[in-house]
Amino acid sequence: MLLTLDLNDPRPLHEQVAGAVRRAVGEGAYGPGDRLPSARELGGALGINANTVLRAFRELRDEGILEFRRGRGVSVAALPDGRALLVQRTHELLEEARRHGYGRDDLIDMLKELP
Amino acid sequence: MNRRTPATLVSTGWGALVMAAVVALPLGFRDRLPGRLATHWSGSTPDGSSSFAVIVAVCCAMWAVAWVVLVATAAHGRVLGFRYGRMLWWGFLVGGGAFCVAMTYSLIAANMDRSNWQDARMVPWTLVLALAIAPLVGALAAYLGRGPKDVATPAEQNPPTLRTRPNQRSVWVGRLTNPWLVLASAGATAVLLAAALLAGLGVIAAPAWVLVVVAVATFVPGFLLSAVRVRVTPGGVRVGLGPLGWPSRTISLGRIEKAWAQEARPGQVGGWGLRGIPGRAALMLRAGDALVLGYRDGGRFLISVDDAERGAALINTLITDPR
Repeated sequence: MLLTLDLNDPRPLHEQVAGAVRRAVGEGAYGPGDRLPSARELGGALGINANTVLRAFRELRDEGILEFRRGRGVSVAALPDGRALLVQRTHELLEEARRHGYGRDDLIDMLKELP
Repeated sequence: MNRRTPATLVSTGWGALVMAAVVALPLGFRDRLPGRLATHWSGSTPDGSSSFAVIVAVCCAMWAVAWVVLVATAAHGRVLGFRYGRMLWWGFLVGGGAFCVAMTYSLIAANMDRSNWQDARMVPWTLVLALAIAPLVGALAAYLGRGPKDVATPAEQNPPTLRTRPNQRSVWVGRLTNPWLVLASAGATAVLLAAALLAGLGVIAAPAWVLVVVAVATFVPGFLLSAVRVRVTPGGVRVGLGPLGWPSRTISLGRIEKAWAQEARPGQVGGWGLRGIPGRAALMLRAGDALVLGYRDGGRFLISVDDAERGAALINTLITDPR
């Protein structure tokens, strides 16, 4: 599972982790029923607390992407739908725009200019 | 595939030749051998014997089984398609045949001109023939049969990378568990422990503690090699063994020249588990996706793990742009 965190992202860490996991699942690295690496494993690799990763996992469970099974850890329940992934990418686009000095309205204008 | 034809021809001829020698040696010396032949020694005195017919049959069967396995792997497997497989195959074919002939001969030599099997004595130089010369012949055959160097896979020539932006931290975590290996190691351990229990109760005649030691020696490597965890961070590539990810080893990124993903099968690396010769190590848990680390010194480390392509891409990205 490839996870990428943006060090300048002002969102809370667990939201960023949830986003990274959602994208990894959305890219097809893990299919429905596949077991995810443990929260401790991912936390250790990212250098963050395992509880933060668990919190992200719980958010994704509430979205219906992950499921928790006793004794079998965390696995993929369903692939995230197009909207969830689009919302995520929009979020990232907005972050990028802000880094270059553009705001939300500038982005909306740019979108409207698209054919 | 064009290497298969000479391999089939030579293995058929060689197989027949070895079989003829294994049969002809005892028959040729039939009139100089006692009725029963000593087959087992403790120290220098024989403590086991078999009839002439049984010995000929066992020697033939030993070679026949080995030969059939080798011919079948050459015909159906991909073992001749890469250098390490060819070396193993030719080494076992020629060395194994030489070993069978040498063992048969050492048995004959020990019993030759004795009036009964209790007088049989091992002839030391015939053991040297079996235990030193035969492996040497096998090694020579392995060298001669090595064939051309393996061609680099497309993934190796063009290793994957990631698109990254500044101020990002990327990590990759890969894992793999093979439940069949867990089951096999647990099953073997259970059988050995049951045998130890029976031995302890005096039902079977064997020292219980030896069986317990063998059970532990079966379980520990089986348990450790049933699962693998790989973690790629800017600090290096950490490979952990077993469901607990311990023991683990960290390979610094400075040692790695490039990484790529490829399909790998147990036959290519010599079986399941930790395999290989120095410079060509492999951690093989199942056929399929594998991560390969190419070291700067020319060595390689292959690890069977899911989602290896992304792991390889991150390694290549971190090598060129360490953060």
